[in-house]
Amino acid sequence: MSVEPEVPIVQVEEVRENPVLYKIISSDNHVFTISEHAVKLSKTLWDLITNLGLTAENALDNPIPVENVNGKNMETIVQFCERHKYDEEEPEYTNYIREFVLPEWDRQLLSIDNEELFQLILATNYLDIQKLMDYCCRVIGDMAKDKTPEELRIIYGIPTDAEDDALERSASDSPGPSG
Amino acid sequence: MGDKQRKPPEFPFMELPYVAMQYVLHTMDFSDLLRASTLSKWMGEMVSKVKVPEMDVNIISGSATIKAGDFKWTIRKVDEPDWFGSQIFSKTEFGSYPVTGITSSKWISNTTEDNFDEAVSIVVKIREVFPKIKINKLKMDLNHVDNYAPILDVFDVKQIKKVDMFININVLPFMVEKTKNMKMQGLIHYKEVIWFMAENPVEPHGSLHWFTTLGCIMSGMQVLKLDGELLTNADCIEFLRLWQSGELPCCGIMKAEKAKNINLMTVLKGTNWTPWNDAQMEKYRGIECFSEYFEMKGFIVNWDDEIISIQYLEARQLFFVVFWDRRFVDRTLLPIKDIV
Repeated sequence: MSVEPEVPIVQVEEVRENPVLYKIISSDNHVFTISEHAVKLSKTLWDLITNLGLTAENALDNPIPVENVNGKNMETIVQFCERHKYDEEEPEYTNYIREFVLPEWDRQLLSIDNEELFQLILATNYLDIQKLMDYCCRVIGDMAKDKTPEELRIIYGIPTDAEDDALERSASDSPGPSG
Repeated sequence: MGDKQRKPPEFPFMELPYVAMQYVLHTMDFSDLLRASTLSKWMGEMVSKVKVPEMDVNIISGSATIKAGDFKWTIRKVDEPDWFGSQIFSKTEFGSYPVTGITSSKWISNTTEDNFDEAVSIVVKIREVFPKIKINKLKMDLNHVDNYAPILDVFDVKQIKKVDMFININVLPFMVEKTKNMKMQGLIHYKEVIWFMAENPVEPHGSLHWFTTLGCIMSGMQVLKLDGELLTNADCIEFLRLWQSGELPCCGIMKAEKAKNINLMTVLKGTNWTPWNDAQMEKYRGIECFSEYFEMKGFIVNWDDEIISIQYLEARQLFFVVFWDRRFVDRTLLPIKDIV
């Protein structure tokens, strides 16, 4: 009768790998470090990293310049990505109304003035970070809540049909680049 | 731009990338989108691309309700103006849409007339804003079908998932006689919609088509949904009497849910009935498609040259009558040949 070999009992503990860090340089020369999981939230940055062949060994020696994003926005973006790096993957966008609750932490992060929010959206759009885009747009969408059409027009600066027509006429009247 | 210089916006929405504009609209509530759509033609087009929640439309005696997302609109018939209501808005507030836009997500209007034109016009207007919106549930009193069903026909019937037409048993004798030219041959319960197979004799050789409940209603066939909780043996006997005396010329289906304490033997007493018989019913093609509402059992009742089947599924509290040999005219709806 064979005896089963004694199997050693392994104590399973949460093992955290040494995080791979990447360096990012903003348009105004601020340097940020970001973990691999976090940087993957930006499709643009992750594509860049894979195309450049950056690895754990050489990542910190090869900072990635991001010309279109300033230090202030990059700081917000890095904070956001580090916060959400272990979140479940977002479902693909559809053209359905998206109903979700903006978490309080993110609402605080995005409590910035409208010009900053606008710049952050441009940066988020460039870096292709789906979740942050959703959250920023939710903040803008919430500005419309229970407003009258005229209030909406003022908040978003939507031109009337007459203004649209006038704009179109003046564009067609103005001389082209060669004229 | 016009002569008057506009103040800079609080948020430069128009300078956002197109994708971001769309994302912003996708985070808005239904009623906010309705209001936004009134700002300009361009904005209306942007809003029309958003897929919005399905709409429930309920037009029954005394009240009409439209619900979609956070949007809710109600009109109800009252004898006295409800001075103490906390949310009473004049009908014109909505009636002026889209010139002044929609200014609240909830309206309660009062009417002293049994007139729900406004409710239907709101449904139509909402559909103009969201051309692809679907009706999830449409409940309509049969009294209103003649007036409003043709207006609601702006919807593809396939977009309407569930149709319930209600009628009170007390008003059955007053139902208006309609033509009898469509021969019903089967029905199927498919994705919350009851589909009917019907022969259209208007075509030379009488081809078969599938219709939804609404299609049948609009073609003149009545689908009666009775309140099963109030249904008694006496009501069922009265129902059969109405049929036998020719007062239900347009009825295709009668259904009562939550029906309790019906004794079929009592109901059928004195009628010419037989148990369900496949051979006898063979001539009604399509019966193999019968739905969960219908099992090929129950009872067949003959009267003159007419034939009905009656089922009482006690465990499911369902009382179900199908009128065979009925013919209705397809007046308005295109036949739907492919149901998948």
